[in-house]
Amino acid sequence: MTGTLDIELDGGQTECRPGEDLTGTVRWLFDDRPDKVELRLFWYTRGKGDEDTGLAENLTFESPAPSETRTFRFALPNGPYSFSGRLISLIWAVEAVAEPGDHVARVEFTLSPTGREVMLGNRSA
Amino acid sequence: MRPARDNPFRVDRITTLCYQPLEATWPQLLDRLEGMHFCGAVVGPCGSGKTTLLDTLADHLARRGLRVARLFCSVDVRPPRSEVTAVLEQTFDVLLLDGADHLGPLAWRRIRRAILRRDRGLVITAHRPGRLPTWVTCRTDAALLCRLVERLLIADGPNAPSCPDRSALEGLYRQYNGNIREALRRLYDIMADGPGAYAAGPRP
Repeated sequence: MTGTLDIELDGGQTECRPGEDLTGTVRWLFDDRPDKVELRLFWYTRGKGDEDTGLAENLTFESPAPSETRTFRFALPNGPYSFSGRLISLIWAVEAVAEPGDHVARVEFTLSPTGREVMLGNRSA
Repeated sequence: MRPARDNPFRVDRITTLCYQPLEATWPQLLDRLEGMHFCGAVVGPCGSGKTTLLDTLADHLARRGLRVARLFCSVDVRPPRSEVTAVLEQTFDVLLLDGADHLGPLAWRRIRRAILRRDRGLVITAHRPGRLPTWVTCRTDAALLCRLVERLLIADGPNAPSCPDRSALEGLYRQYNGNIREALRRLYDIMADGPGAYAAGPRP
C-alpha cells in the first residue's frame, strides 16, 4: 500500500495546557483500503540515556476508506509537562499509523501550564 | 546549554547508525556467514560496533527471509533461565546472542546445544574469540569516528552545529582507546555544554 498520511492540529496549535482539548484532522490518500488507521497521543524522551515513552490515549478509525479525512479530539492529561534539560527532553506528540506498511505521520506539541516547554538548568540556549 | 532534544549525539540518533564494515562489504560478510552455516562470533573490544553489527545483521537476515530471535547479556544483565527457555522455544532460524562471554559455561552449553540440535544458526558477540569460530572482528579507527560524526551532523541539515575538527576527533578517539560509543557519549556532553566545552579540552 502506497500513499500519504498527514496530521494537522487545528489552528496550528502547538502550545497546549493540561486539560485542554487537542483537536485536529488526519488525512490519508492510499492506493488501497488500509486495514487500520490508528491515532496515538503519547510522550517520549530524547537524550543521552535510554528512551522512555508513555501512551496517554489512542483511537482507531473504523472502516477506513483508501482516501479520507477524519477529525479527532483528545482531552489532554495533566502531565507530564514538556521539558528539556541537558540530559533529557520530554516531548508530546500525536502520531497516526496506517497499516499495512510503514505509514507514520507525527505532530509534536508542548504541554505545560504556560503552553511552553519547561527548560531545566541553564536558559542561555 | 543545548537541550537534549536538539543534541545530534542523543541516543535515538546514535542507534540509527548502521554498522560499516571496514574490510569487507555486507554481501561478502553475509556469504561468509552462510558458509559458516550461520554460526559465528563477532569479536571486538568495547565500543567497537559489535551490537550495532548485530542490529544491522538482523535486518539483513530478515530481508533474506530468515527469522531472528535475540538474547542480550551484559555485566549487569544476565537473563534468567526462564527467559532463555522462552527465547529458545520461539520459532526462529538464527539466534543473535549479544554478550555471550557474560554467560556462564552451563548456560552457554545449554544454548549452544539447543541451537545446534535443531540445525539453527547462532551468531554471538564476544570480547574474545573462542566460543564460536570468528565471523567478524570489529575494529575501529579515527576515520570511522569522523565519518560517523559527519553523518550525525549532516542529518541536521543547515541547522547542524559546527563539527569538532578532525584533529580534535582523533584526539577523542585516542583518549577513549578506540571506543567509539564512549567517544560519541563524550561528544554529546560537548554539544550539550556548547563549543566552549571542547575548547576547554576533553574531560578525562
